[in-house]
Amino acid sequence: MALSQSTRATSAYEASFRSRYAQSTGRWASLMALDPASEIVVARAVAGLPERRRAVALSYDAADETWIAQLRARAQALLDDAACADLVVMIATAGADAQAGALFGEACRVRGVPVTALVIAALDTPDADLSRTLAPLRPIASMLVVAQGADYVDDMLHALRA
Amino acid sequence: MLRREQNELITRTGPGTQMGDLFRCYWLPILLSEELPFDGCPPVRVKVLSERLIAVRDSEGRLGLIDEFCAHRGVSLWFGRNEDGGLRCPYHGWKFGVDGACQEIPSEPEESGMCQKIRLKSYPLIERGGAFWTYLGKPEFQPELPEWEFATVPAEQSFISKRFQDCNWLQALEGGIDSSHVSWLHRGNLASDPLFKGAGGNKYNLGDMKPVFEVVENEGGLLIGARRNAEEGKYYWRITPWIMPCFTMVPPRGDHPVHGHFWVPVDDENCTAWSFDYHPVRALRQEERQAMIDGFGIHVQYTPGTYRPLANKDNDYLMDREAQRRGDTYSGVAGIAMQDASLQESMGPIVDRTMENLVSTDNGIIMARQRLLRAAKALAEKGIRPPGVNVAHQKIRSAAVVLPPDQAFKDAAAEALKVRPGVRQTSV
Ligand code: FES
Ligand SMILES: [Fe+2]
Repeated sequence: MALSQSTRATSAYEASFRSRYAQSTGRWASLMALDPASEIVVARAVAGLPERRRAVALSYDAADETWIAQLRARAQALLDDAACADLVVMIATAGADAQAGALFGEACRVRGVPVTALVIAALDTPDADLSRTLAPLRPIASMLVVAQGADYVDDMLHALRA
Repeated sequence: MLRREQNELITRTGPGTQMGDLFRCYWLPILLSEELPFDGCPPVRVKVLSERLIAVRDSEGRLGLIDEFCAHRGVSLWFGRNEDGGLRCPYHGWKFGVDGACQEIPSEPEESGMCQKIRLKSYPLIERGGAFWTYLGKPEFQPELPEWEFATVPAEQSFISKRFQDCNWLQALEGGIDSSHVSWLHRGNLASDPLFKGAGGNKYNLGDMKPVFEVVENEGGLLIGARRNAEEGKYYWRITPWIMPCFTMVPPRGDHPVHGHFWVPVDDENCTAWSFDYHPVRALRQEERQAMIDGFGIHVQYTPGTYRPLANKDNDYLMDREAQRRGDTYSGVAGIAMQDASLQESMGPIVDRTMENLVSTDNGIIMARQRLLRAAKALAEKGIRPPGVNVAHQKIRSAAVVLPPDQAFKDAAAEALKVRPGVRQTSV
């Protein structure tokens, strides 16, 4: 029996000796909304957690021609944001066109910032809608989450210390 | 990371706790069939959800799970005599039925009616799929009997084992849904374990060490898809289901039996890891069954006469630094089950989740915790029955598939994830 080592943290008593010194600093998450419904989710997430420093909404409506213009105007701000973030979280509603996410995801990848894509889908969302949103995000996201409720955003950010 | 109060809430399952009430909505496996082998056999002590109970199979073959301690002066009924349709306390001869009713108080005149006033707490006990199951909730909410596929296939198609694990149930469950550790901790076993080796999918596992994950919330819990590159731009997917509260399945490999787990709280600092292996359409081969008995795959070797693993914290899990150096095992501990158990126990009896630093690959764990907390709250505040109680949620399989890049695994593999009697598992 190897009882020579000074401790094994397998009792509550031993576990109480775990070092309590801080071993990490906060994360910086940049939030991107990929459609109007998600903008509300992002706005709420930001309001709920004052220490969250960045949030950018990026709505994309292919039918809306002003979008391209908006995109140009905001592209630099978005990229600056992403570049100094530890994590980019893209949020989309199932059924939304996520092409814009794919575009920015590519830029994030070049800058070495990991992307988590969170798609909010009801249980009865048609599969085709979900696939349409997921497909462009799949190549750029290192983690894809399909959640039933928007409240997952807050829980996830908190869990990640973002 | 969880807040301190969240970590308390999600890990405590004793009577009167919110998570305890959640667990009390389900049928849970507690004993192997071999533990109550014949009518009138010795009773067995059971601790589950922090309640000390005793399982009885009386001389008439009736089953019950009752309070461990005699109503008279608190003697453990484990010392009891299982005789003539009841369990008799050896101290003063009080006798109890499997329903907890006091049948006899020898010192009292029968007319006194004292006996009718005494009843020990009791719970139902049923046998199914090589195990005894109980339900610790309110009788009026008792759900349909469990319908997990491993428990409903013919006995020759399945094998089930259990082992005690010295840590909180949630640590063990989180290991079951954390696909990302497989490429590390178990990498030495894919090629060598008789219940894993030879599968076509193994080469993708070993060839792509950076899987990408997709986590999808479904009716009963979660589906966790791990995606690795296969040939011609296709993806190799391994899909792990978690059904609330504590059932997980491992994606299959080739034609090997499919396996999975139940992680059942004993008390807040201990759990029972149940491990099952089954094949949906054929009997297990003799050599497969023998390998399971010998502790390969997800099973373990025991300390003789117990359900405690032979490799345990008191012998440092038989750590073999040479095997670790050679790469035969990644952590130096032999066997997939003990690789998991040793690390989970090392985190302490209830890990302090306020200290952890989760990353995006931990989303399966993050979402499972969120769903558990949400379901416990909905039950406590609105009386809503949680997911997983419905037997339709239990009819699920894990799967391993190769798919074109544009297909969502949940849709493309929808059929593969369903239990289809007479149809083999979907596997690569
Ligand atoms: S690397 Fe995951 S617990 Fe240490
Ligand atoms: Fe494992």
